[in-house]
Amino acid sequence: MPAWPDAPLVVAFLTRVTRRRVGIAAAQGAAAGFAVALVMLSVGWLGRTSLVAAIGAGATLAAAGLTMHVVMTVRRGRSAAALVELRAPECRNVVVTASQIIERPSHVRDYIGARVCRDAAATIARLDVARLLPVKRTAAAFGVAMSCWIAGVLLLGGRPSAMSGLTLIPGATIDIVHVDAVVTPPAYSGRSAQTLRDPARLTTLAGSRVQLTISAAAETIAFETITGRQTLRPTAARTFSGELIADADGFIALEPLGADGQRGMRRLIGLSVDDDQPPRVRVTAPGKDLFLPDPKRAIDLAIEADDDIGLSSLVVRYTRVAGSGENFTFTDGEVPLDITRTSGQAWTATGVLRLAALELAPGDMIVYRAVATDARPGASPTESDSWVVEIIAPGAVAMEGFAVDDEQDRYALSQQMVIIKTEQLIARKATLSSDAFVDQAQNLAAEQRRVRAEFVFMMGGELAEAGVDIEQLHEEEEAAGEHDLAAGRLANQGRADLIRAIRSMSLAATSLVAAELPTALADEKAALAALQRAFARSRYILRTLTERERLDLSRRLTGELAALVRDSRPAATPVDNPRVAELRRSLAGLAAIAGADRLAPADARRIAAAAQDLLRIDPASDALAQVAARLTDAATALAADRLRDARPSLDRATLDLAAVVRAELLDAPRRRATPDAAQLEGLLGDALRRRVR
Amino acid sequence: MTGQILRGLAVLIAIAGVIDPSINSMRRTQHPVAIVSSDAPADAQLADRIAREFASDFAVVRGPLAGAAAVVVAGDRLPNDIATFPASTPAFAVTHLSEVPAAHITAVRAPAAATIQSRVPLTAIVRVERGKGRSVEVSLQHAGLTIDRVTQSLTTDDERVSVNLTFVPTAEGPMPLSISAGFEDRSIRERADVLVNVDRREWTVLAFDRRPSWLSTFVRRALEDDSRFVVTSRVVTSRSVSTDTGQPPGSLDELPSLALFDAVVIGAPEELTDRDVAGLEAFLRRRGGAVCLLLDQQVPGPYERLLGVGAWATAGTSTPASIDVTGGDPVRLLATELAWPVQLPPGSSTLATSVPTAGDTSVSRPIVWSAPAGSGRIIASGALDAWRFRDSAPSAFDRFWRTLIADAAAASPRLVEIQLDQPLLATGEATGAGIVVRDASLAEPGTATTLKGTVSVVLETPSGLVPVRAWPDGAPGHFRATFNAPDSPGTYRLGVTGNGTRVDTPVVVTSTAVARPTPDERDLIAAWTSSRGGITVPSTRLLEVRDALDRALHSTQEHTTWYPMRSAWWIVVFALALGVEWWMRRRRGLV
Repeated sequence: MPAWPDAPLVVAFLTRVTRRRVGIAAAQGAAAGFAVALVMLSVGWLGRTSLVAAIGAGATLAAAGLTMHVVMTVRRGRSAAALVELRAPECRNVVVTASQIIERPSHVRDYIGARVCRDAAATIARLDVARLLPVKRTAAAFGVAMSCWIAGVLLLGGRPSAMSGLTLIPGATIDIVHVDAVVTPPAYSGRSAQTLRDPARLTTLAGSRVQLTISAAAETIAFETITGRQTLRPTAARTFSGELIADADGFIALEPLGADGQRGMRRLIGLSVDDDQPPRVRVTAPGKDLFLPDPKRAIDLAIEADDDIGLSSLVVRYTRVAGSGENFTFTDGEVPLDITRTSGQAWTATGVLRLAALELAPGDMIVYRAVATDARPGASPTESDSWVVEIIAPGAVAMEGFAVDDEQDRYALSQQMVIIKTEQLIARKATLSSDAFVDQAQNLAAEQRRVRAEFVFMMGGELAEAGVDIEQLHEEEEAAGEHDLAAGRLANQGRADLIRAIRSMSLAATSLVAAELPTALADEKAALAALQRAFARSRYILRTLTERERLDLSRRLTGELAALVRDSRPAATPVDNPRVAELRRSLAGLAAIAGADRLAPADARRIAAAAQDLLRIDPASDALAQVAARLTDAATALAADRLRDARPSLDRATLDLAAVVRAELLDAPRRRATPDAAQLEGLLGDALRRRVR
Repeated sequence: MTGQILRGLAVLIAIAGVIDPSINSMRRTQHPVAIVSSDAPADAQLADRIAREFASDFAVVRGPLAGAAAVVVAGDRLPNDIATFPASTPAFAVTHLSEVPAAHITAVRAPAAATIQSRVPLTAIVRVERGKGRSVEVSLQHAGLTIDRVTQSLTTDDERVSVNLTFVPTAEGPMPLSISAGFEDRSIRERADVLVNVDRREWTVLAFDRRPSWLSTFVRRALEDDSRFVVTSRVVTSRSVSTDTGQPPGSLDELPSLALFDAVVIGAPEELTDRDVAGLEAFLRRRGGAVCLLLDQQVPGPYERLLGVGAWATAGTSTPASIDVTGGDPVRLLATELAWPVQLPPGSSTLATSVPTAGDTSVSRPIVWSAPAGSGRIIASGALDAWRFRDSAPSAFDRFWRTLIADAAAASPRLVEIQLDQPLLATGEATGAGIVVRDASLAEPGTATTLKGTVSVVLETPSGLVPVRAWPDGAPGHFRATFNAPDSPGTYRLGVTGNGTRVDTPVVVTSTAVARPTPDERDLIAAWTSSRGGITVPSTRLLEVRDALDRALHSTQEHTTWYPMRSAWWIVVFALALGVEWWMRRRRGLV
């Protein structure tokens, strides 16, 4: 700075002017930023997804406005001296002159500089910076803009916008602008809510609450699901709300309606509901039935359980069955478990089933199973397979019905296993003590009885129903069966062979209890031979026949041979698969639209309806949902008069729908040979065969 | 002086002519080679080019030549006049290969008719030239809409791709379809139009079991649940006792009542009697029907007469073996008990084979197979216990049998068959129709009765019936008619009444030209040349044909004697020399 006495005064004055001017520019920029933010908030471009987003957007825009205006003012605006001269013409350019020569003092002589600065100082002494640069208006504008923005944030922040424009012009297009979906899974799942804007498809857990907020230029909205239809009325300006509990696959169709009944473009949202799967639980150790002579043993248990969402409990329950004859007592209890929670979804547990504490007597039984529950309210517990611990006693029979395998080979295999074990025991007899030998023979007897019991069960319990002790064969029924067989009324010999097998098994079990293994072995083999005859391929036991082939029992064993007539039934009249018929109809409708030379916006409604029909045909089909989504895209594009976008989506949807229908159908026979060619081929075949002979 | 020279020259020629000197030399033998082509301009151009290229090495003749040492066919089509060459003549062929990328639809295989309850398979054969590294896109359109699209990569410069497309009918009636092929960037598109008549035809099937059979029962149920079949059945449950569905014939040896069915499905075939087998044989040969034998155990019986199998093999597995359809959709059966012929009867074809499992050293076995029997076909299944594995996930029991029986039944001829050469025509275009009256066509030859076949053909138009003349066409019961498409576009019907039975078929006439496949007989040409010891090469490898001709014709250098004075041109020189010499003398005033 030059050493002129009044120069500092001038510089200080100009500095004050500059600071005030920057402050005003900042306030103006920020006000503009708030105004822009308010506008964008109102039209729904920014800040409508959450409050934080609204505040962030406003602050950012205000800061941007502030910065931009300050920079522009500093870079492009007049100098402070020029501004003073502009606002105070009485300065007669002396302030500008002083400012310029202070910047470049070497260009003037000292006395001139001192004189100009002195005059400038005298002039600015009469000036008031506050009057030169008033802040009142700027402050008011800033305050109003910020207040409006704050109010806007409080009122609109985080709420879906009503429409793209601030006002709806009467007679304007009826349309849905946005659909905001909040999917709230059931509380027990522990999953958080999900917010989606304009979803084409919602995938939810069964029981989830789906809240829809629809921004639409409409009077009402028809809200349709696969189960029904309702009308939504606005809850706020151009805002509609609806909700449903997602409990099955389906769709949500939203159709805006005007006051005059005018219909807008339908919005379709596929709904895919995932069921909460029940827990899976299994006893991994011992994982088999036990037949023990010792009622004091402790049995180590290991259990595994898992669930798709989360487990809430895991226990092992047992039922103690004690008594005999018709005097049974049943006592329930639980086994304490040591549970390891690997994760919320997978648990393992160990425990010890102490038989001593249960005071079991020979012939008593423990039936135990693991039980797991998940957190779903009202859900039934899931049980593992039930396993049996039986304290064996001579003459007792394992209770049938716990684990009957329906594969017929298993019966023969089980009997074969008894035979093998018997042969092994005979071979090991010399190495065993007498008690151990008897003990193991009785174990085998229990297994033999169990195999036998399953056959009795398979025969439909007819021996038991007849009031017969299943240990003994009912001679009268067998005789009736023999008569039946002799009369040639049964299609095969399976039943008789099965009865013989059961009888041989009874004899074998009796011999095993008495530790007479050679006798038992002969009976076991006889039983096996009878089983193999019973299960020969051409002689399956015809237990289950369809209605159309059910035997006419009234004709069995009755009537005269001469009165035999053919059973004549009308020919079956199958109907076309209704799903395929519906899909084909949809495809035809879609092809009619897509095949047209020109698409018109009016076709959008037909396309949207076709999409809804597809979801109605099979809400659970992912392929159809995808086709429906493409159709919705096409309808939306068409409604917006974007024909270029609509055509590819429509073509692709048609192609995909054709693929879905195609997968449901069988190939038509391919082009057949001409009659000449068929004749020629036959003649050639005949000639070749004659030559080979 | 000049006169003397000329006179001397004439004298020398005369003396040399009297002497008749000879010159010995080694020369290449020039065998006569005929270059033939079809009438197509492109083929003719190629033939001319070959003739130019070979002219220096062979005595080339453009066209058929009796006594030609070899014949070379130019183009992708066999010319008609190749029949004039004896079988001993070596044959070669040069086919087209475009210099620029090109795609041609050479054939379209589509059924003339299909039921609406099924999807219609079409196969397009596309020949793509100069397309290596690119992709060819083949699409199917109906009413301007693309229904199916397949893209296939190309690995060579001259590739023929077979593309399977599927049409899903949505309505009954004649459906004009269009197949287009071209490169993926759509730079080149070629089109071929076809017509498929979609109807609701049902196939009549008789299921006949001499004893209850699980396999037959479940096959019958699969058919009964399909609306394309009308199933009539008889299951003999005991002596003189049966369960019937519908009105089955009294026995299998009644051809008139059996002929009402398109296919007969036999369960427990070992129970068939000799009379049953005779009846089925008549059904196969005189009806042209299909018989499907479902074995559930392999035991001998009269039915083996139908199959002509010498010996059977059987196998049992602990886990179900897969039985996959040969060359078709991935449809499979499962079975643990299998039976198959040790050697398939001559002329038979395998429909489904067992798939060897991991660690199984056996080869694929023909488990389901068919053999021609007269005009009919007999199908045998050795998947003895396939009925046990009907779960739709691993197996396709219902799908398999429905498809198999539908194919067999559809191949059985109707009382009157019409086969149009082109059912899709441009206005005024001519086409032909083959007509076969089944009973006359399949009647047993040598019978004393006179075969009689009466046929009348009309084209139904809006303005009335237009009679079409039909002529006998060689074999008994075969007729042929030709007619021109009407001048107005639309759908017409060609009605045929044969021996009192009336059938009709649609004819669609369009105002625009109908695009048809460009036939490609390269396989036929290759087979023909191969059978005659020759080769077939594309036009870019023309020299290979010349080398092959050299080898085939044993072109060698031979010792030849040349008599220069035996040329007639010497007379001209001689006369000219004397004439000029005389003229010069006259000019000088001498005589």
